Amino acid sequence: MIQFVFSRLLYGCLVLFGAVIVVFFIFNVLPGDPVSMMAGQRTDVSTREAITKDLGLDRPLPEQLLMYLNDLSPLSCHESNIENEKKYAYKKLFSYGTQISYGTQKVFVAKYPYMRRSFQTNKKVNEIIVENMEGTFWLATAAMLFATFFGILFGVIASLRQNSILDHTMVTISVFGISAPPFVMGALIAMVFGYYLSDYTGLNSSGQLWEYGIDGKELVLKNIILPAITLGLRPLSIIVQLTRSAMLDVLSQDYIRTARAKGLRYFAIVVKHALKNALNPVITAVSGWLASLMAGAFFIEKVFNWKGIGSVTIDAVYKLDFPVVMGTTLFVAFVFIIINIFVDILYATVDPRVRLK
Amino acid sequence: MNKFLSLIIAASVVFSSCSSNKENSEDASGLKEAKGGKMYGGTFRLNESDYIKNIYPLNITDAISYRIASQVYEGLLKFNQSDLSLKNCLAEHYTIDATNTIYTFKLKKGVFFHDDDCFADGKGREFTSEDVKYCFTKICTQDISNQGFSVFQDILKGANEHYAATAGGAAAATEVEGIKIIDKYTIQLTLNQPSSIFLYNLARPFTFIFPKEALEKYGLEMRNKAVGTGPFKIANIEDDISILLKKNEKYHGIDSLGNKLPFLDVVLVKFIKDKKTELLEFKKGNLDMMYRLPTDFIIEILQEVNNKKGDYGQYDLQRTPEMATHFLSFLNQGKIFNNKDLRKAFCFAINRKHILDAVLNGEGYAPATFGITPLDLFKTPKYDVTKINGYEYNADSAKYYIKKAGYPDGKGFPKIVLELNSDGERNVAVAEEVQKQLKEHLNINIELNIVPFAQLVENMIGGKTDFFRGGWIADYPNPENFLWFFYGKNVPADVKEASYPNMMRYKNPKFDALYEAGLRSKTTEEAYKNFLEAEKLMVADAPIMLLWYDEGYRLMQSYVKDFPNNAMQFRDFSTVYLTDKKNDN
Repeated sequence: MIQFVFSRLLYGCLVLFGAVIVVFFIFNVLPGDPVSMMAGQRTDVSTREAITKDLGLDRPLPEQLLMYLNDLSPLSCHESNIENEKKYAYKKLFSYGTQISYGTQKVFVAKYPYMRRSFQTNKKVNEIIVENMEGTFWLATAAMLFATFFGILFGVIASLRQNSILDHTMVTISVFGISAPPFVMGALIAMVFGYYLSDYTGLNSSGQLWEYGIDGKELVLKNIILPAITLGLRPLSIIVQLTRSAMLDVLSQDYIRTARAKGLRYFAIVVKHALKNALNPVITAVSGWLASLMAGAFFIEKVFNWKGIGSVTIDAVYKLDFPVVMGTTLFVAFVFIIINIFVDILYATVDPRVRLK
Repeated sequence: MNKFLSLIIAASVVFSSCSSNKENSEDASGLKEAKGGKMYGGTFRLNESDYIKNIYPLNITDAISYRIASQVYEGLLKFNQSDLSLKNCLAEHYTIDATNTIYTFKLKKGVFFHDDDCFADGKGREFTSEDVKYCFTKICTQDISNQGFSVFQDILKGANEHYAATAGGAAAATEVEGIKIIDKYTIQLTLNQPSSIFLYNLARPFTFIFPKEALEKYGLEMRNKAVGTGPFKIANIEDDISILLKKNEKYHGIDSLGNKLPFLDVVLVKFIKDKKTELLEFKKGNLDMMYRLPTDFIIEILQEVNNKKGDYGQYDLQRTPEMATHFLSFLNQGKIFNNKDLRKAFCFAINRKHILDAVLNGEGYAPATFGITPLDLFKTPKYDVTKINGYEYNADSAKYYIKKAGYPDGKGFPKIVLELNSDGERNVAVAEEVQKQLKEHLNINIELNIVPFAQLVENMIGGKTDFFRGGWIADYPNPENFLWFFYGKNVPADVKEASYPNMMRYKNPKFDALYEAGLRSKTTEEAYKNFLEAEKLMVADAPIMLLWYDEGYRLMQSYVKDFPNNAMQFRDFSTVYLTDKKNDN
């Protein structure tokens, strides 16, 4: 088992490494010069050059990549000086190279991955990610709770009333839910419930979980309702369909007939015997969806002006803010890998055949 | 009929005042009366469509950061919000010697920095001439966080030398020659030669004064940490969501009636990126002001505001010409557009009024038929742009020049591409109209290529495009700011080399001489005279195809008072106050 977990972790690291390489080269193919996006109208040439140099943009691409990997890696080499000590907050393991003058000695260090500072605002990328993670996390969780609860409920109802008008309506609506593009639904829902009907619903078309006013921080739970529903629509539709078909499958099994023949109550049969067995594929789907929602719901966050990983990434791409794009992408990859490893381990514990492969 | 009409008006007045009361009740409740019928207290809520980049004075490069920073920091001088004239701020008064090169500033006494942890006891200390010297020396010091050297470059004595000496983070051996402390409250600045724009530079964000202690403690974190002397302090920053500014109780300013400034308790800046969402929030009463209206709604809003009825009838609309001009640029050194007659033919072939009326729905101040400097901006002394012979649509002239350029009736004209960024589709709509008019009036085909802004910038600077969209928003109220990017002495001879800011690579030694003369002029009148002559020359050469001058629209809740609009969206919240709508009627 330990070997299995270890191999999964190693595999995850390789995927992360691949992500760094791919994003790095895609970003560098993009047209435009980050420095001209940062500098002021009248910034003089020498300052521009100094900025370019400071960001390492004047070096050849492979060298830039190596420098970035060195910054990211928990074990890395740096020149030994006070500036670097402050920048990386590293713990020195050993030093090497001869000290000719101050600053020429190199050290091998252990540190937290350093993701640099935003080109645009000078803010640390680690801080940006931590700050935006919360919004995305709550949004994804709320959306999944909504989708799972109603999805299973509707799925069960539809399966119990198979081929009735209710069943057909639900199936049709869920097909619509799967196929409607999220940005269209987002704009529509924001407009209708957040504006035209806002006197009745009391909801806003945009807003955050925490609002800052004169009296300080205030939790505004209602602001999550519309984006969470919009985000949850597609998983909801899929869960409805999955639950329905799994339930239909299970309900036609012999043991259900036996249970009925035994004279068990209808409700107990549905919940205890049928639903419990029908949920397996649903749980797989839910965990997969949760991972992708955690990765940032780009369009939904944009439409509802929700502060999260998705919206911050889109902005950074526009502004050629390389460290932020890189940082958020890596974060997303990291989340995917962790959740996948977790699911794999879960499967392995449940089903020994997975481990043996 | 008349009775019926007046009944409706009366009803709508009652209705609108009722609804406003409801919206305003929250803020109005805490208001306290001040002299002259003004009111203390309340929160002013506004929105910005972009987030701030950096509010460290030397690193302010965008308008939004400037607008936030100017509530917190102050310079020696300040713009007057109503007409953008200069007024004293941290300077009590100043004198200029006979040679127009020695400026002596008497500083205001009893001005304190905001209370902050960077000071030993947490209490803000008094502002003195040492602070001016420190900040101005920083401007003359090379650093990647210093984008403001241009305000003193070639102007302040010893600035260039100090800047060169500090390359690569080196410590300069000497101080900046032109900065001299006379006493605790007096500082003297010496210039190389007279400069007509120097005083304007002392009101710009780069010359805001901050205490040494703050920079030493916060370093790079000054990007969103501000310790100044201004009317407001930063109380909270939530990146991309909101910035909360609280009243500085120790602020030194008083208004003409003797009221201690500022009136407002709080200024809350939100960052909603979508304009339509912002408009919804404004209509719901969650914002007190809206700057820039979504194009789709403009006609409706203008009609309703003018007729004082409908949804928008209850709001105040402020309109003013802006310091912004839109145009298309030619690559003047390129193989196609180095032909002046061709550039002129293009300029004569465009019906600008039609673009403004039909494509932009009237969202603009006027068609740009004069120079690059917008109409009606600089009035005292007057910078009369109507004296410039610009280009209006003229079919005969267009045909004459296209023939003279060697392409009679458009024959033999090569295929060219107009490069632009989309900016909410407005640019594209305008470009399509230009494309249509060039075809109709000159029988010339152009193609459009829509690229991301970053790519457009790269192509423009690198001389990789012959015909591209441009727009200019001035940083400070002076025609010089519209002319400086036509200055040709720094344009490289090779088209492949980067050229900035003169991206159209316009070169005219006569223009350069007049521009320099304007810079060195002793009085504003003299400077304007030189600049106007320079601009006339430049327009006659047609290096760009001017399209229209911008107009700023600001929708305001009617209980906001003393908040005049101006051409550069310079906002000074210190004098703004809110009223209860009940007292207003």
